[in-house]
Amino acid sequence: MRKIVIGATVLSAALLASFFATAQKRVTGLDVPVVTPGPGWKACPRCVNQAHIDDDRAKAEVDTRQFDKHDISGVWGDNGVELDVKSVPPFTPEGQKMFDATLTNVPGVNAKDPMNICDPLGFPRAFAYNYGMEFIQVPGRTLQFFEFQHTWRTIWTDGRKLPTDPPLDRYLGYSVGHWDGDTFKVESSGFDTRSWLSEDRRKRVHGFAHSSDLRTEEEYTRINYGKLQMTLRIIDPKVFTKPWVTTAVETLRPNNELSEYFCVPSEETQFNSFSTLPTASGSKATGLGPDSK
Amino acid sequence: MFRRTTIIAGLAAMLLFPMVTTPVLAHHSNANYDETKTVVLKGTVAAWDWGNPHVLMVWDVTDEATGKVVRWESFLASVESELSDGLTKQSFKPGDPVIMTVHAAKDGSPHSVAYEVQKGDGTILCGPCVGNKGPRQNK
Repeated sequence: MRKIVIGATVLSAALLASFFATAQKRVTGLDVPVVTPGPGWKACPRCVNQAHIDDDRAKAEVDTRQFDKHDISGVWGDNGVELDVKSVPPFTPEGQKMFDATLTNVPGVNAKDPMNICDPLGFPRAFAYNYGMEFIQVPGRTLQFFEFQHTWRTIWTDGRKLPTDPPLDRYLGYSVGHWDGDTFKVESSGFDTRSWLSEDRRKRVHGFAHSSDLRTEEEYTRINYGKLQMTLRIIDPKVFTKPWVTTAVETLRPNNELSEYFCVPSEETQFNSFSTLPTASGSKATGLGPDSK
Repeated sequence: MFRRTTIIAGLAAMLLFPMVTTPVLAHHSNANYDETKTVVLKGTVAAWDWGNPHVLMVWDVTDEATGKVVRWESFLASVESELSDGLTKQSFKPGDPVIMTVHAAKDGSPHSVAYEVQKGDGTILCGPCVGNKGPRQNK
């Protein structure tokens, strides 16, 4: 009898310990420590969770703070402004051919995406990609920094016009801007055709290519200290029958700074050598089949 | 060439893996993984590859019945996203116990996308491990 009681006690203790072990909650929200490079340094916009973002924005009183409507400086968002695929305009016949040509030839991988080999995203893809962005305004120029690929473009505000026949096409194009009331308007052209406007994220097997006739128009209006209304108009009559418009409101990240997120070819190579990703032809199952949960 | 934050152990074991000859690429979709269910795989860390484009967990899982060891891989999001989850380069080292809940490859190979990561004592480090801001496609 004594052995049974001891056994039951031990079993109960074991079960209780097991319960507490498996019931351990994950640390969430503000409990998650913010990792910075050191004192005075800030975490990147994507390096903090929503609780931290909300806390930072509340402390900065972003909804009520006085602001200059012609000041769009600061770190905005952490997830880009993804192109609105629900409103993709119809393709022209030429545009359809260009789109079809981007179809991947490797199942599960968007194989023809130039990003795979760390080619520059270019504009507007850098704008749409899911990392942060920062505006810095200086006399004669507004600089727009894109966290992914750690690059920037210069929007000239010194009154110059867009080049009609640039000597060199650019991944980020040529951009000029001016203020129209309280809206900062940007026009761009002269884009390198090797970039995609965006990956087609509906099925991730295509990309949206563009022609050298691509033009973009943007509008930025600061709604309050913490919000920036953005509109992007993609105009490429060779590819689309009408402009492709995306609008969004980005939020200020008052306590973040952009990280250095280069696309590093050697990292891509190492990742790929590490991970033998499964393909339609099948990599061999070398051992146990997983036990389904 | 190894990143300075990567510590590899038992590399010879990886030679047991047949390398796929098709060039494989980062920034892939999750189409090859079964996202309708998860599997739980307990094991021992072989590598905690803290780097971009994806943080990668490599761990050895032993079949208790046969004693056979299979090396699994599971990728998470970028370093930046995983910092927001509370993970760091010090979260794991080779030899640590780990419990991975993953979406496994549809073809039965030991590749996966991480859903939840637990230390050996059951502490949940992240779940879902997508940067704690909701579902994101891996980039």
